[in-house]
Amino acid sequence: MSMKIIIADDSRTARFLIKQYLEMAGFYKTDFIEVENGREALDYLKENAVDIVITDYKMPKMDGLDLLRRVKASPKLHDLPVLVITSFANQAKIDELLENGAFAVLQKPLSLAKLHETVKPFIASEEYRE
Amino acid sequence: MKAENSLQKALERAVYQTIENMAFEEPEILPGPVDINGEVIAVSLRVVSPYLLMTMIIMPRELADILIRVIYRDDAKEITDELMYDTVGEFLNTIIGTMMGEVTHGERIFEMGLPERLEGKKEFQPEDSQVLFFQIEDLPFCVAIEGEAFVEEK
Repeated sequence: MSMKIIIADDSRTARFLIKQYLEMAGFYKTDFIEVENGREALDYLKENAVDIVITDYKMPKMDGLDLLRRVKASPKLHDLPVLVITSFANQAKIDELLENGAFAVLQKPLSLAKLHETVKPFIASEEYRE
Repeated sequence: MKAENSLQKALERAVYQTIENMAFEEPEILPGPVDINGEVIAVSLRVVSPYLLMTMIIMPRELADILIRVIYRDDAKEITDELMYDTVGEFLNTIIGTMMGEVTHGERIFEMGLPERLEGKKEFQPEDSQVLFFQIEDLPFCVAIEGEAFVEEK
């Protein structure tokens, strides 16, 4: 059974790199959905099921924090794990994202080792290995 | 080249870290200004807090093309202007975010805008700016910062 991950980032190259790193980290049986902002991600999530949401922080139309808040406020979506990948590297922002329900916050430029460590529990899940 | 200060060092480290992580290339810092000839891809990004800064990256189109081919490998089908600005903008976004994280010690909140295309020729005023020149495969590029933090650091 393949996993489904949605990646929200306004940069096509950032989305490509995240996807590449996830594949290198072990997500080779994964369907990736790419969107350019939080609004597009939310629209997709209303109609489709995914396993993980990965989002940038700073995006036009709807940023990553707004997306995170809306996901966590939705009875249908609130259990979805949301990983934020951002170039905003201050502790106050990271704390705010974690307090709002992000399961992790990673800093750009992305480190394969840190990403692997963060997403390892999902790769190890029985469902994914089957 | 300005006297060394923490901003310059943070910027230098951020450029190395970003280009190595994203494009697997090691930039070499140049000791002083050089001409960046030919067609360039220039992108700006504002930092609005805790300092007001205008930051820029100016990269020859030829170098942007090389780095995009390294990143995308077999997936680099058509390298459009849009992809060039997107990629160079993401370089700048990551460089400045990394640098600001270091100069604010990861504690003070900072806010940045979104990368924007910079049209026309850009002249830097040496007294108001910090400009670092680098090269990859003999192709020079520069990253510049103008604004009050630079003045504060001098």
